[in-house]
Amino acid sequence: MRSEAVRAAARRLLEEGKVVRFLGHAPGFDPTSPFPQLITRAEEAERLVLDHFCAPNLAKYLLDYETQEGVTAVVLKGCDALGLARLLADHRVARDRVWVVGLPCPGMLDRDKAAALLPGVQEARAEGDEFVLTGAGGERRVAAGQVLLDRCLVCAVPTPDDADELLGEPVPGRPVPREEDAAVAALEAMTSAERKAYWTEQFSRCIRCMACRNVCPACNCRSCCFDSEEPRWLSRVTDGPAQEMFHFVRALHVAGRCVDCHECERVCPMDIPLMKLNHKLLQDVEELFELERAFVPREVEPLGIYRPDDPEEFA
Amino acid sequence: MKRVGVFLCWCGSNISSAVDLDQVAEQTALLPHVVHVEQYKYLCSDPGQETVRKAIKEHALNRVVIAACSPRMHERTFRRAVGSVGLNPHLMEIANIREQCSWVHPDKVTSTPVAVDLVRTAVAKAVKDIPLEPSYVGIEKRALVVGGGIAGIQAALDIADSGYEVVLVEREPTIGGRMAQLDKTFPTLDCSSCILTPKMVEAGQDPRIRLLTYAEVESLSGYIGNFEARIRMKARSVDLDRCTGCGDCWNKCPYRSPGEFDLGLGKRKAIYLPFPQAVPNKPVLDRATCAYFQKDGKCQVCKKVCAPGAIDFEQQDEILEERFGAVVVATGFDLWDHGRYGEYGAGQHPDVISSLEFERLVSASGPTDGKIKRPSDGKLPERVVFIQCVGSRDEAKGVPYCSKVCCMYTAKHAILLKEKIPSSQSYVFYIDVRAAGKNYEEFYRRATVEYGAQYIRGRVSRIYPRGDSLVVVGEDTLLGQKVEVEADLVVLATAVVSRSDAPQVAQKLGFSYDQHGFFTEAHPKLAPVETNTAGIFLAGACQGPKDIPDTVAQAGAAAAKVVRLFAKDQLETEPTVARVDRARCAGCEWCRPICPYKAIEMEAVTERVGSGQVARRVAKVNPSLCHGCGACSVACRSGAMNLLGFSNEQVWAEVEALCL
Amino acid sequence: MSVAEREPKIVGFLCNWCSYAGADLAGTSRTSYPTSVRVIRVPCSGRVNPQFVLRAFQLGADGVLVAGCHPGDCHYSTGNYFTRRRFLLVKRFLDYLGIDQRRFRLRWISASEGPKFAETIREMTEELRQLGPRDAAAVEAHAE
Ligand SMILES: Cc1cc2nc3c(=O)[nH]c(=O)nc-3n(C[C@H](O)[C@H](O)[C@H](O)COP(=O)(O)OP(=O)(O)OC[C@H]3O[C@@H](n4cnc5c(N)ncnc54)[C@H](O)[C@@H]3O)c2cc1C
Ligand code: SF4
Ligand code: SF4
Ligand code: SF4
Ligand code: SF4
Ligand code: SF4
Ligand code: FES
Repeated sequence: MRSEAVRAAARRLLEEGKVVRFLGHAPGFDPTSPFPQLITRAEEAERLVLDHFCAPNLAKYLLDYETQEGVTAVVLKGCDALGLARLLADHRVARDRVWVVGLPCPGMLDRDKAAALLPGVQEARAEGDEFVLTGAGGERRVAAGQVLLDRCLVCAVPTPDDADELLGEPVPGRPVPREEDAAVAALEAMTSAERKAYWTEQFSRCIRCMACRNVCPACNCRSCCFDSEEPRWLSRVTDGPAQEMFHFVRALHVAGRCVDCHECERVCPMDIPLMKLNHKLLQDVEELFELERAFVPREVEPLGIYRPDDPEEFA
Repeated sequence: MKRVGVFLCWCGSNISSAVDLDQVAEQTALLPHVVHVEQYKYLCSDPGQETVRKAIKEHALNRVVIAACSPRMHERTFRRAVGSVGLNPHLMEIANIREQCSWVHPDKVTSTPVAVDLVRTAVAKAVKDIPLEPSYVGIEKRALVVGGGIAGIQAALDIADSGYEVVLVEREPTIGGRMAQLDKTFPTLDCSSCILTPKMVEAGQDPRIRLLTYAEVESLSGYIGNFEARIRMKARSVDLDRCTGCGDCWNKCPYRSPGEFDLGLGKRKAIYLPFPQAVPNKPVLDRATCAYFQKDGKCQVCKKVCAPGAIDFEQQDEILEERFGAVVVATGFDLWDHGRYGEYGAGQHPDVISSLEFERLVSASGPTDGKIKRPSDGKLPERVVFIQCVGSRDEAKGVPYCSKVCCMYTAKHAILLKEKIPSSQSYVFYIDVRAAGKNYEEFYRRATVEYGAQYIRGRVSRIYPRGDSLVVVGEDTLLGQKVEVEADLVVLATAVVSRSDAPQVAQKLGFSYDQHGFFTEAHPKLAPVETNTAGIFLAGACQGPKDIPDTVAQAGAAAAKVVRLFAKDQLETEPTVARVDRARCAGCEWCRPICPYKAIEMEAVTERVGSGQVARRVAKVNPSLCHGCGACSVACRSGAMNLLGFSNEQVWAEVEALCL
Repeated sequence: MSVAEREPKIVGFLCNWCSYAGADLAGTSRTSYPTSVRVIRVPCSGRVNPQFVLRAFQLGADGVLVAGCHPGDCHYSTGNYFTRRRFLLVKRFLDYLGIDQRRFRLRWISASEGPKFAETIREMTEELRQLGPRDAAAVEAHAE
């Protein structure tokens, strides 16, 4: 898609010495799941790709260079840029040490959806409102709605608004009603016991791989409470209460700070519906504290301030 | 090795009659780490405390649990007892088995398990206790007083009189504030300057008070005991050291303009003394109205006539940097602008004046030499209407609160009017008369009975001119009918409001203010002169509408707080404060805005990474500012911020022990 | 004793300055209330980490009470405003995870409100009794 453009940008930035390293994507074991790739020399630019499978958010990798000299360039989509905004608001990254190469994002594909539509899919290209998937199984033309990541279907911020340079023209957001509200509402409609049962079942599958935390731009603590020995907020066993604790804490720690990037859910190997937790909190934060677009990081997080006239339910 | 001793108190029979303490002792003895359990009839008594001390030594206890009355009663007692035998006082916990057990659960069968749980929980907490030490900071024993009205003057005098240095910063060319503008004062009718001037002079002469007039505080940093202020001395164009206050300059200056002190009712020169009793009794040159600065750089009359050569046209603003241990803020109040009431003539009619203007008109040293001449034509008014609550108690256009002083000064004005113009008649429109104060009701009654002021209950709806008088239209709500009063002069008791720059002043100095711009006390009842920033105190009308007695009392209280602080050589802070684990802290700063006392700052730390050094920012708690509320420890997700004495691990252990 | 008859267990986090003093006052005035509650003293309601609350539930508490000074009266002036914000969210979130929100209460109880403290415990105990033990409900639903 934009592989050439990203390579050119990397070469230029590294040659000009504007940045000392460049974070982009490179093909992984399989072209539909690219890896983050760091290069430090212009010659390495050839390794980079930028295609419709570049879903991974690179923002959080900036933390790896927190203590190293020099400016890091990073390729960010609209949603990823919110992740960077999160890191900036959390004072985890200094803006002047980052060069944002923004990708006005046409939407990224869900590799599972794509693979279901065309087993062995290797590549995808956009044609209008459709995607053409190609692979060992031949070629197949599918509607964007069938194959995009859920988050991209409702993406409000495809173009990073804080980029130092853009790889292409800005793309407008998709004003699609938020389906996730329905998912939250469905759960809310259950009885308490049913919800308990639902979550117990979901959480029981979690293998505590911590991928969700590790990828999350809001979970950017230097040392996570889950790794603490004293107190041991999270017991080592993975019984029901511990699983509940883990998910309660993770979600609550990003409440009002989650940028709605869906990365946690995307990377979860066990398909735990983490966004149903995040969205519940996001909705409540917006409703209770009268905020709009609470997923956009702000100077002070919603739980770091108050209003004397906040709803009073506790008299 | 943790060795916990548990002491169960009978409290006479207060506890033992309702709780089976033998059973509690039995079960407690089984708990891990518990090596000693003992009962005593009155643990808080001297022999009781001795029992604890003895057991600590005999059984080499290093943690103590007292199961007795509420920690709110005897926590200090037992901390001291434990401390007296060399154990850190914070290695002691209390289980409240009286107020929260025996007294509310009189049945032994059900209360005993509660007591067992509470003791077990206290043991679990004690096991996680760590020795805590207070921290100490030095105190710069100098006070900064901001604002030189009666509040600031009184505070400065009181502090100085206790032997400490004070710097009094006043932004006008003289101290005195509003009180200097008043004629006489309720409820005694003594002349305002007669009681104020001696204090002003004293403040000017006290060697321990440094007056910085025509000056403002630009910024304040630091914390209690150790503030640093930047003070801007505005260019006065007069060298105060040389000037003798002879008056030649302002007598000869050819340029006149409306004087601020007289609220524009009189004129002053371009170089002027705001009023005859000003302190310092030396002039200021107002560059905005001076011909030398505004026109042609010529004039220079003042310079020519000044024998000591004090006039300095080249003078520049000067910045002073000073250190202080405490600050008293006394910046006073303003009056609401009645121009906002269109129905009262929108401030356009010259004979509709504010109460403060009236004060200037009756004042013997005012622009009319104490003759109440109305502004339009200088006529002595026969019929004067006073209107109370102008802007006050008016949610829609003014302010919702009561200005507190207007009822009383209006009664005063009615009296003064009658004294000056015996043939006159005053009418007072009021909503209700609030005369709560010593001798206040009596004073108000004098105005009506002895001085014949006619009080009309109701709001005025309109004022309009008719011929050379004014018609005041209102509703008499007692009679339920419309009234019209023809008047020669109308005096509006406009609301007391905060200074327009109050929010900026609060921000600069670092404390909070309310929605009306009045400065917020740390606690409305228990800490009325403290701000939420330790070491900064409030005095006078900057905190809310106040009359002079209240202002002076509050100033004295603020001074006492300062002196109390300065009486110590070091500030000992409670050891139960927040503490940052730097290794865990990410420097995210989420803890910072949550702290009500601004106790959290960021600091840079350098660490070895591989072979090099890297710097990172981490949170740092200033123990002199931290009050130990613990809000930050919850804001910090990673657990880097913890609260000593109520640490994460302690509360966690309590929950676990309790739910066992 | 069957689970249904067992007295519910309430963990109460009380701020030192108001609510703990309020509970003490209930004691001094001998206002008795059910033995269901066990109190943990914290400096301010703002000290209560939601993780403590969930932990209490997980360890078998049938109900959790957080109590602090009335808004505007916090000893640390603003602590309870943050508490209120935080627990508006937490209450709903607990409920969303299947911990009935009636099991959690945040109450403003001043140092003079001993009766209110006692009444709160009475009410909560009654409500929890009606709700029945927590796990049983969940276990049943799971089995369906
Ligand atoms: C019309 C009228 C009549 C009254 N009559 C009576 C009466 O008869 N009896 C009675 O008891 N009370 C009376 N009062 C109330 C009385 O005026 C106040 O109680 C008193 O003036 C309050 O004093 P203060 O020092 O707090 O404030 P102020 O008198 O306002 O003094 C504040 C001082 O701070 C200075 N300042 C302000 N901002 C700054 C800054 N940023 N930096 C440095 N300096 C600053 C100001 O220039 C001023 O000098 C009357 C009030 C009014 C309006
Ligand atoms: S990524 Fe999924 S499986 Fe891994 S810890 Fe998170 S929720 Fe559990
Ligand atoms: S919680 Fe999930 S959706 Fe929210 S910011 Fe973290 S990774 Fe993104
Ligand atoms: S779970 Fe909480 S403590 Fe851990 S990284 Fe995320 S926000 Fe930080
Ligand atoms: S414990 Fe309270 S006062 Fe102390 S630093 Fe934390 S928030 Fe501030
Ligand atoms: S103490 Fe915690 S909240 Fe504060 S800066 Fe450090 S990590 Fe952030
Ligand atoms: S001290 Fe009681 S709620 Fe803060």
